[in-house]
Amino acid sequence: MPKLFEMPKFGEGIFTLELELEKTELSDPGRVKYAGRLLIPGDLPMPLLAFSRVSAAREGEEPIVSDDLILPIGVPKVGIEWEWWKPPRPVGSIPLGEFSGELNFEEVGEYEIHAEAYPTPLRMLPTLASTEILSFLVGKPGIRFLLDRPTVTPSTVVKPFTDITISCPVTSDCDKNYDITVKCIVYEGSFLPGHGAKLAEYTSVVRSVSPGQTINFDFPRRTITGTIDRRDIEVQVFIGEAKVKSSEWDDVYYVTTEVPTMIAVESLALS
Amino acid sequence: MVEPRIVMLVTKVPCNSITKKADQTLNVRVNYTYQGPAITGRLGAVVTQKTVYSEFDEIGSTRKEVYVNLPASETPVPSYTDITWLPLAGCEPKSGYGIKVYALDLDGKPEWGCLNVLTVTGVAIEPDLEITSLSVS
Repeated sequence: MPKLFEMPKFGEGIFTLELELEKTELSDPGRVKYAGRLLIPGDLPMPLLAFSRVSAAREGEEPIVSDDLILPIGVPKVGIEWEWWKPPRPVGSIPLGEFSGELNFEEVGEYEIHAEAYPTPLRMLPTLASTEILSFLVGKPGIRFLLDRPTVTPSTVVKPFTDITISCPVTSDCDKNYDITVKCIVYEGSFLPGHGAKLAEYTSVVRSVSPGQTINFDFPRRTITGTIDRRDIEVQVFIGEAKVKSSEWDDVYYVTTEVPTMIAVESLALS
Repeated sequence: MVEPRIVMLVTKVPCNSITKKADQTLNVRVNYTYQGPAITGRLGAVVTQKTVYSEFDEIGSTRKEVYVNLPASETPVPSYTDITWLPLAGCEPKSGYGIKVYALDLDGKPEWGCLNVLTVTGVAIEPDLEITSLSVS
């Protein structure tokens, strides 16, 4: 009996994924549109839903992803092919699975972008196909900063109304000197992924940093009570208005929920 | 072996001096700063005298306490509370009395005071002879 259809196996290069970017670089942080398509063998008869993920990452960092892009691929067209000298046979063709979206580059840097297509939204099965890696530059080349976890003195477990200093180390891995400002944002922590309410934001003065140099940006703060004892900190580095680097750390310090009362008598007056 | 014990420290603060009769009462205005959540606390005042054992030996009959509503504040906020009508009847007429104030229902029992600010005089009628006229015969 002749085999009508060859069922594909995942990850064997049966599908082809293509990705095109609206631009090849950005002078400032911003959004870039992309469009892509999943090419499907013409004789694949099954209707297919696929899911794509486009990732853009700087070296050694978490990628920016377009996470929820779905590829509904059209219902296959099935028909009968008949040539007079051959017996009739069923044929199928499936439209191209197209997808589009945009990536939001909030920070300057050199990114590598690629796309993958998955048969399930949870990406538990091997990919159907993936693209080549594209290089994408936001801002000027040679700008790279490294951030370490902030430290808190005098203690990482303090009571409310305690004066602390948050030190944020910033290391330049750039190819020349840059004048930078650093923002330190304090959030309440959360039992869920991410952080809770924003509590405060501090901005440093402009400082010049040379290649390889590490500067500790210190931000004094008086702790306050919150709905939870954990505190998360985000550090952002700016060159002018352009954000060039940011990172966030969970549970950098804790503020006990026990609230102290402080009363101090200054003087007495008798009458 | 010396048995450990907690020694309460009295923080000395500025205070004016005053003289009162033993049948009068004493008013104490407490100027303070408060930082913390909104709570109701107590402020107390008591006349003290210096003894061999204590700089601030309390004269219990003079004690007065008042409730204070303290509003929530994340920074120290100045305020004052009047503790009035401390009876001085239990004080023997002499000088050198001190005043101690303390807070209750807060963290610990902080105390503040000052020495040698109160003189209590007696209430006995002193001989007061006034010659209004002389008559010669």
